[in-house]
Amino acid sequence: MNTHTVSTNFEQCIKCTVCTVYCPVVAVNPDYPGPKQAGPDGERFRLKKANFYDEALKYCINCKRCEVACPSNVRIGDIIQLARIKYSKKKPSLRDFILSHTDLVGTMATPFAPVINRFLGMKPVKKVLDQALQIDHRRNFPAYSFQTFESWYKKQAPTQKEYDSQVSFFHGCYANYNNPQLGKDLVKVMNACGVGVQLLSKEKCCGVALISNGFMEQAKKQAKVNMASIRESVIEKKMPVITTSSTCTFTIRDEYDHLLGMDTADVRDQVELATRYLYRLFREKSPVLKFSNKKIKVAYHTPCHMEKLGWAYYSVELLRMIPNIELKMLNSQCCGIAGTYGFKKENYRTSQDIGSGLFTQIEDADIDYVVTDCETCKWQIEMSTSKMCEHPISIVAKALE
Amino acid sequence: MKFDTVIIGGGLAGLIGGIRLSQEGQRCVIVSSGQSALHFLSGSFDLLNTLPDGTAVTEPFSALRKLIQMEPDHPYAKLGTTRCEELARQAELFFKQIGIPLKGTSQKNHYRVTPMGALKRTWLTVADFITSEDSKKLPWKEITILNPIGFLDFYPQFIAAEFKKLGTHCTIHSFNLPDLDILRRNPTGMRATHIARILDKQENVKELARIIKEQSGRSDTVILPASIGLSSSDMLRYLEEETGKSICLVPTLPPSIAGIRMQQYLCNYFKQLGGVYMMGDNVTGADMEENRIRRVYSCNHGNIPFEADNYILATGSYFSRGLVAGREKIDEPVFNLDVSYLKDRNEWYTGNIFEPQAYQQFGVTTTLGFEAIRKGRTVENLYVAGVILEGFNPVKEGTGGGVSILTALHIADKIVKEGGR
Amino acid sequence: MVLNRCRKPADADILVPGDTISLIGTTSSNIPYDQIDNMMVTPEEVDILIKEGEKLAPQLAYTRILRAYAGVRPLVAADNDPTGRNVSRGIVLLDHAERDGMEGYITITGGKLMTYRLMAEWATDLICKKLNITASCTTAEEKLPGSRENIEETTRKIIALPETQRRSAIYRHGNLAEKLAENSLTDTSLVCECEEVSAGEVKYALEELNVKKLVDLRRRTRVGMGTCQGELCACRASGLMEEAGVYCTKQAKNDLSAFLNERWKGIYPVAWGDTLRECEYTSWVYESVCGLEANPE
Repeated sequence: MNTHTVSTNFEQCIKCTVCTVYCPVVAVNPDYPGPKQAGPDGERFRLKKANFYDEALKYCINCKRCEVACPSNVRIGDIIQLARIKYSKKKPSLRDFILSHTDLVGTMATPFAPVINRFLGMKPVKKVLDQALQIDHRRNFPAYSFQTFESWYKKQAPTQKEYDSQVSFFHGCYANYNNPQLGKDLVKVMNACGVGVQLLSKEKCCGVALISNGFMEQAKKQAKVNMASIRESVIEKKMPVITTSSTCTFTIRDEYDHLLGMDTADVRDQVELATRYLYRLFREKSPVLKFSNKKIKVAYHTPCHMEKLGWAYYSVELLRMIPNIELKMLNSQCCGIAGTYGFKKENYRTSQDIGSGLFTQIEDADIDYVVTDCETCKWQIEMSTSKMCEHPISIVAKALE
Repeated sequence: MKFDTVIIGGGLAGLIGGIRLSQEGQRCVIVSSGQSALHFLSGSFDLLNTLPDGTAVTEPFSALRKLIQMEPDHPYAKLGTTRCEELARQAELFFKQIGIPLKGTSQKNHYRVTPMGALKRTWLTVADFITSEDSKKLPWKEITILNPIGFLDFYPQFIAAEFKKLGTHCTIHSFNLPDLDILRRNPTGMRATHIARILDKQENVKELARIIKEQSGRSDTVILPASIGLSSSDMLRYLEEETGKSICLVPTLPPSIAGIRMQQYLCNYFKQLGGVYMMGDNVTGADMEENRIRRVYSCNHGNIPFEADNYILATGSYFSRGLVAGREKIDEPVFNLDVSYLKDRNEWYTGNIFEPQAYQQFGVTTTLGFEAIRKGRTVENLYVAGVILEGFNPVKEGTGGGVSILTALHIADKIVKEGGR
Repeated sequence: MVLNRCRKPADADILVPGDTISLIGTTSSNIPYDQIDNMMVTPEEVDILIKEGEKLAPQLAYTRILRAYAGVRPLVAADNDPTGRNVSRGIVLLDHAERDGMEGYITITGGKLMTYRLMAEWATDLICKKLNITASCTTAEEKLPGSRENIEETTRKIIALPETQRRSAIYRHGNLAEKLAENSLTDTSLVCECEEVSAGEVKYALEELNVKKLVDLRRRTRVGMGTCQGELCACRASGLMEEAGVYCTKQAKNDLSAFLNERWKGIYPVAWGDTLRECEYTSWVYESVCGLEANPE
């Protein structure tokens, strides 16, 4: 199926240049042609002749801020990603394989987590990775957890079934391999609201890194597994699917359709962030939660994909339920890491330059935590500033008595 | 999601309305499908520059009565001359209070300088931009115009030629900086916004000060293209202190730094007052009950609607798809409101692009109180503000800014006075 | 790929790709001689082209239409059909000595731009015959300017240029694009972003391609022929031309106004949807922001 010409709407572009104002990459990297040239302008040429494709499109981080700003609703990010998929002649490297095959790497790493974590933190090791694989030595790796979230959950499964309301939890790679605590917090919060949490019968990494690194076949394979599990949950078991990662959510809801050409319309609306699910729950059922009175000062950072979803409101309103919370909204800006992008040596400088404004905002703020729904934003913020960064669900879980 | 007022459209009218309502304690949300036409702002807002018959207007208030006679469906006609004057004064105070420094008064139009050196009548101009009270004579004998080499969206020669006619002598100097050469690696890098990010850097402002001192000779005043001061006006103050010259800006071709700053300032101000601003979302439909909007739905929020006592539609004109032109008809796509337009597409335009084009006059019809009308019936709690309105030609009359600002303030006042129901 | 309705010639028979756009055409009507400079496109003609064109490609109902244009063809009538559909579009070479007893006169007419060299060959062959010149015409073997060297060679010469504008320039100018090898860094900035025309290419056209006005520049480089129809680039181009000394600021403004109107002539017959949005945006930029008028002086 030729999704390329059918699903992009580059003709709607009226050359107003607004997208170029909001692109975080073009602001710091002159080798990137910018969303207008790479997107609707370039598309006309690529349709004329495929060799008009410019490999510099790889600098696009797919943050979607161009789409959010566009007054013509042009799907600029999609146009660029689809062009990369269709025309790029660059083959993914071993490094790209390692960075994007998170299920494989996570499964291998977690049994040896303590050793791996120490190993990956060592300067000489990072230097070797820098030389051999072009993974920038300044980038910190997220720690792996010894026990995956899925294996912890196995013990909870029986009690979870006892709740009247049930949801399926798409946990994503981060909660599973790196930070099961987030998954545990999610279960705690949902249970406190009277909702039981199930796992999907089979879950694979959402595939966002596979897509951006060019492993389309693998991405489609994994997406098919996820869609089958989601359909089983939503259609057969009548259980909506909730998530904690803004990027996983965006990938399943939008990218599966726009970039992988999969039809997800029958279940898309039933896949949502936990914070949105809870927002609706509180409006409909008003479950009573007991919070501690502990004072807490936080600043909320809007991840790019969250900006695209438009759902920061739900996470923020959830946080505002905590008594004695002092919540500040950081100016919505890209943090620069863009998933696996910021790990790559050739992109490190761009990533850090993109995020610099955000880092200054954070350092200047008198807060206990930065709060955000995206795990890679968390890694970037913790590496580049002196502040800790937590997920809103974790903040809520902490505040629950 | 419950709010006091939902504002659809996050441009000038939407933001002004949102701020005004928030100042009065309302909890408002603005939903905008994309960034607004403020991004192409000239640096000035127009109240009324020219009558529909082409007569120049120097004092807007004196010309209002005539305007209303010529265009009885004009938004100003619905407001009436007294209310227009009141609102214009209120607007000037409003901008001052919220901290946006603008020059000018509604009593008498002043002149702004365009990128092509033309002097155009206008109402309010952003403080750093060059203006003149008189179109026949300028307040300077000597001016230096500085432009980055290779910046194609600004025309010192055109400005110099026009100024010469008015007895002002201009010297033009091009300059370059190493950072600009790095920017040039991108064939579309030389845009006002990208250049501003470079010139705003401390080391580059310092170098620019040095260049100005070197090149400006006897001129007391230096003109720069509006491709500096994206983050703040501090660099212009610094340049003035360092060089002892008066530094003024002339707008460039889009994107407009003045417009972007205006948008961001208004948006941040709105959020600081507790307003919620949702960018990149489209309102797709509404539930109505007995001539009132009960709730509206959007793309991003799906089955979680917005609910409010009042709604303001400020979605702009064709550019922002507030009005959609098909081959045969013009629609208002959010609520399907009644639109006033000519049925014969032939009559939408004339063959000379510089003549008034009828399509620019089309828009949504409303009651005198700016309440929306749908299939002939008034929608009681839906108000319509800004360029989406019928009955005026913003380009030819120079009324775009005025209509947006005045109708937004008027509707906000109305909503506050009448309270929620 | 050209889509052609294989039927007796009628309106909207053919959908042709051309560079970055496609063309649906044509209609045909006879016009009086005194109207040949008044090339109007009527709404009826636009409606016919779209209605009939949809049968060739249903997508035409939704696609963005950039502009509509009309041209005049001098054709030699064989009958009195008012549409002129039955007139051959072929080349007509008339020897008036044979036809009308007038020595020393020939007429070469009909045909299309595509066949102009063949027409030149026919005409000069006939003239040579009359002048007893036996040399044969070599024009068919002569490579046109721009095709005298292969693409790889030219690409090598201007490899330093950014990729997309390099390919665009070669597509338009063939081996003549090698003149851009002398481009400085400043010259690689784009004037026309829709069609990837750099400042360097514009300067080349000004210096070597006899460009005196924006319409000339448009024909030589495609400046103003993209989807924005001059909104972003016309101003930039006229500024460059003024800077290059092609004309003074007064003439530059007049030329800019004239060019915008020339573009408008083709846009307003199809000005709905996104095309109308583009028009509105263009009028904001040139009239509101720039203060350009119909006849500046």
